[in-house]
Amino acid sequence: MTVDLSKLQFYSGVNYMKREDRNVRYQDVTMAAYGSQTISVNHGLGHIPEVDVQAELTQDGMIWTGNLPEPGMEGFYTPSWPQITWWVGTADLTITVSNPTGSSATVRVYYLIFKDYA
Amino acid sequence: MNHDPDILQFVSLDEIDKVVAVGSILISNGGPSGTSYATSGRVVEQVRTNTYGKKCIVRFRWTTNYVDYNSPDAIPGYAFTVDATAWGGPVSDPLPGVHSAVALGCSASQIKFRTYNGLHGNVAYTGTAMSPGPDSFSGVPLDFYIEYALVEVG
Repeated sequence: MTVDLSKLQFYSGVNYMKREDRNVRYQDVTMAAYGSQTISVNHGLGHIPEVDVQAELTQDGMIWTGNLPEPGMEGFYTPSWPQITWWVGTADLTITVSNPTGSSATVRVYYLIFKDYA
Repeated sequence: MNHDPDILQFVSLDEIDKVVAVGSILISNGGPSGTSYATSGRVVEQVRTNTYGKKCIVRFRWTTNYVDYNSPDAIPGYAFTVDATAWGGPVSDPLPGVHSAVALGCSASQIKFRTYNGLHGNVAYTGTAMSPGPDSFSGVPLDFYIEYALVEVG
């Protein structure tokens, strides 16, 4: 194989994370008020990969990373927006979105699955 | 940037994370205030324009002391006491508090930086048990330094 150096999109002198092949890396998840939904994303890698899961928690087209903090989180409180939890096995990435609000909600969940081991 | 083919480390057909923007920001958050320590945490947000113009996944790290950097989902804790002697009660054992937290959001037009500062000193109840007054405590200001990179969703 001949490499055209002018087409290289990056340069690295160190190791890097290789993404699993996938055309679409998000799903829209709809929940009823106070409801939850679980989705499963098959990766079929045969090992537990490194993954990165984020979501448009505020439903305004903004992808959030990190714990979305709010006043009152020090005590007992009900979050103002949906929450995501996820876990990954050798075949699937499972994502649960829960909706603590009194209105139905649709959250777009993004997932990057890497071929590398966690 | 010129590539030196002699030091290229690999050739790969696998897709990788494509970083499209990097930056840092300093946000001052004055810390808790109010009449109840349990609901006193302060949120301070700042917004920047997303000049890339597409929604991105954000990677970031953050610190409040420029020494210890936290992961995005970190929620560092600390301890404080509640002095209830004004109500005829005891001084509590150390209680857990939320020190700080950070989240970053990225839309096609904006990058939003959201900081939470929950750090306060020890708390003293005021008034009496029959006629409670506001909690007495002092918030501790924190400076949040955040380093971030925008990564294409792909």
